[in-house]
Amino acid sequence: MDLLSNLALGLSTAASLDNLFYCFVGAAIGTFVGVLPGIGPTATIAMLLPITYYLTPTASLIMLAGIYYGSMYGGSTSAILVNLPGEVSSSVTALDGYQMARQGKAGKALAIAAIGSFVAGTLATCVIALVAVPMTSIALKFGSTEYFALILLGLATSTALAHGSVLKAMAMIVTGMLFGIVGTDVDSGAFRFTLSIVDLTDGLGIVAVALGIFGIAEVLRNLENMPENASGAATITSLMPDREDLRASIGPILRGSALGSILGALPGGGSILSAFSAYVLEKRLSRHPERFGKGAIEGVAGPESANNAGAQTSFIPMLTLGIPSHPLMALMIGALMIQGITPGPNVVNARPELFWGVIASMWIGNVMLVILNLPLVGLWVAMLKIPYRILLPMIVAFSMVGVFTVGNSGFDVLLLAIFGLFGYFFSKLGCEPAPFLMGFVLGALLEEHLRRALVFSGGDPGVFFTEPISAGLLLVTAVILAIVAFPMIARRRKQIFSEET
Amino acid sequence: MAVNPRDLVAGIVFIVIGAAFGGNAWLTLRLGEANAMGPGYFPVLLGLILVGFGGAIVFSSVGKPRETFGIVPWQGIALVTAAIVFFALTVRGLGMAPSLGIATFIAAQASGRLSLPGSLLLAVGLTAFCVVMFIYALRLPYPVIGSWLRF
Repeated sequence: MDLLSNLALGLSTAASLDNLFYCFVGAAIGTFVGVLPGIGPTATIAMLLPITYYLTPTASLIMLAGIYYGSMYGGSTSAILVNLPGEVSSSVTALDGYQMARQGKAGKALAIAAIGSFVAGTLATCVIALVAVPMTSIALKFGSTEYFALILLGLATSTALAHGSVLKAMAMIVTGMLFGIVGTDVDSGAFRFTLSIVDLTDGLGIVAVALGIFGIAEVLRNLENMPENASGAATITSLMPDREDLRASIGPILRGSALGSILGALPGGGSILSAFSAYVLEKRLSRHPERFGKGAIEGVAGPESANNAGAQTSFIPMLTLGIPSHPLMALMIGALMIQGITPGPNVVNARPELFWGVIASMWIGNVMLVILNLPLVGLWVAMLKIPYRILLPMIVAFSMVGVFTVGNSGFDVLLLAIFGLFGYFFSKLGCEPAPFLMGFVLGALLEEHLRRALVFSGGDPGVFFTEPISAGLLLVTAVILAIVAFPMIARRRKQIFSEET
Repeated sequence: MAVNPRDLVAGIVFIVIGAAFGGNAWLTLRLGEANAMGPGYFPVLLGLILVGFGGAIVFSSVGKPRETFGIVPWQGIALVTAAIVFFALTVRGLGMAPSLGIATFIAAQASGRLSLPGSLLLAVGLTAFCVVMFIYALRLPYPVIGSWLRF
């Protein structure tokens, strides 16, 4: 009955007036940036990190979480109505959702997407509540050897999911790690790569780096080819799906939720992989696979449920192990660190109201999102008409002010410009920013655990292979890398990712 | 022989970064031993790995179909960068309001599709919003008008 009392604690925390308010703000902002193409949740969260400084840790995490899963709802709205997926993971929804809209079934597609997301969100919340405590008790037994292996596994899976060349993704991770260890070495106090600049002795600020390579670099990329705004939005007629639609969707929704919950919890996983896998699964299982891509309701229900479930369960590694599964979670860790909380297995015991409050808020947030997205869908469609030429100066202005206020330093704003150019330059070379940020966040942690593990083993690297848990994790890492490198699967992977563009 | 320029340049860039960080660490930081790592041990290791990855990317660029770099919107990039650098250098001296207003105006020119009055309106509106939000609502201790403008 421990679980029930925990959930009760969470619900009472999340239902406080303040936290309800921030949950709503997060969900609304999330829907907004999810609807808009050209600005994603990662950049938004980086922009809002400075504001979270003034909130309680629980409220800030509740709001940031709301932005993340809110953007999943919003992304599907623009994917269905105008075939412009606001988020990468909604691009799967666009395949069949937009076709449904063209056949005059836009309302049904939106409703099924929202219902699917809600069911998935509810189930994923239960999964987190059930899995988190056992996970943390395992994690508390982990030593540096296991953590080292675990971080490597997370990095390997994140390359497996990067678009484009795996080699480049791995090189970006290592580059990120090198930039991540700029500053004072905690162990010896030596300055590393500080170029005699005093501002660099504390290291590069994560907000400046993340906003640079995600926010500003994205702005520069969009200048090449300005995102169109929605001129031909499909009109919404009936929002109510009939019984036939519901019956066709119930299976895909449940399967998508299950698949998304599992894939989301993997290190490196999350909503994108979940959505693609659910689409492929539904197409396989369907008795009429030829209808997919032509407005099959299953092709909306499955991926939409999966991406929402995956988005939520990807909090599990962050909350229980302190290891982010993707860049967005890395920023959440940044938000907690600003507040003086080191995420990890201790959070559940030391700050139960934070832990359970965030989990319970996800469910409340999902209820709010259904209300925000179905009756108010017209409002978001109107938002879609904001042209990018107006959005662009807004993004730049908020990024600058945000970076300045979080560090109270003009130097950090210069870093924002530098990393913006850096991110743009690398995107021109076909290198993604996500692995860079993963390496940036995890580099120092990896070094610390490598150091400690080797101190205990007397400098023998064999310890990683003789300790059973770390050996197992490294084996999985090796298998993942082998799969990615294996040409046949690599081709198949390319095929899946190319459907998205 | 066909070489993919994007991969070739990416590989070379990674080799340069790896060599620069690794070389710097090798020359200026204590390496230590595996059982007592100095500050230079891990960076040198990473530098070597990165040079290796860079080499592999250069190697793999041979015989791949050519990819172009696509268009580069130089003017827009210069304007966005200029706006951020301007804000970085003047936010203390000029104060939040003038510095942010001018920087936003510069950024608004980047798309080349916003009229002059439109940009002005946007700059003033955004600045007002940020000043109200950050300085009056969140009570951040930044001057709205900086010391350069006070006589």
